[in-house]
Amino acid sequence: MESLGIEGKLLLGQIVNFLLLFGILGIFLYKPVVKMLEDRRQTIAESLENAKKIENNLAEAEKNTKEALAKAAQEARLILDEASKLASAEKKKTIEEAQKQSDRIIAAAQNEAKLMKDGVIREARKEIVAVVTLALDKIVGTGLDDQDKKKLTYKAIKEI
Amino acid sequence: MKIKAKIYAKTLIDSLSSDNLEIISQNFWKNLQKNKQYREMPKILKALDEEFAQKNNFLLAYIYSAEKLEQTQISEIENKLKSKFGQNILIKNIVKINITGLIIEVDQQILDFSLENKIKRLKQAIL
Repeated sequence: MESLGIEGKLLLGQIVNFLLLFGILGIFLYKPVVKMLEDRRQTIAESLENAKKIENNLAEAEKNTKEALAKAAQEARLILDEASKLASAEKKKTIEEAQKQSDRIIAAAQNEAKLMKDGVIREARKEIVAVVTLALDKIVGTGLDDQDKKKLTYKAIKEI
Repeated sequence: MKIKAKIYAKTLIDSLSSDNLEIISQNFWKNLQKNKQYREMPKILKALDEEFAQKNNFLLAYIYSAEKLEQTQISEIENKLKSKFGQNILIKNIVKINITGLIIEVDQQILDFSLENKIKRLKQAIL
């Protein structure tokens, strides 16, 4: 080995140095670096997982939001329907009430008109009777001569 | 004691077929004087007519008119009433100047053919 220019002692010393360095590096550098890499990988994995979780959560939240919106929309629709029904019923009731009141007013007006008409007719009849009676009484009392009375007697005999 | 018009009438009717016509007639007038019943003569005469009609199976009909009816009119009324009531009729015509037309009282019925009654019915019909 000496013919090759390699000194045994020096080589051994180099080897020992190398091993020492390797050991020191292995102890002080490799493990921390590996650990650091491992930590970093873990951190990244955790971040990815968190990101995925967040994504999932977001999706879930979006889904929940959509569901809540749908539910709210449905509830709103139901409320609107109910309100519409109530409004419709109330409207119907109001119309019916108005119709009843209208009927009552018309009936009262008709009744009053009838009473007025009856009253007018009754009064007119009284007037007619008074006038006719007066006229006839006058005719019977003064307007009939003997000839008329004879005729009436003759007519009365025919009526028997 | 006052005597009823019907009793006077019966007595007079019976006297027509009695031998004591004079005595009965005298008693009639005496009673009338004694009881002061002169004013009841129309009643007595009416009762006399009724008794006469009853005795002879006639139905007595009083006809009230404004003036005395002619005999032909009385006969016509008599025939009509006879066919209406199915009995012989004895007619008594009574004049009442305030009647226009005729009113007949027969068999407890009043048949009113007067103008006044027609006016009354007209009044009722209108009212």
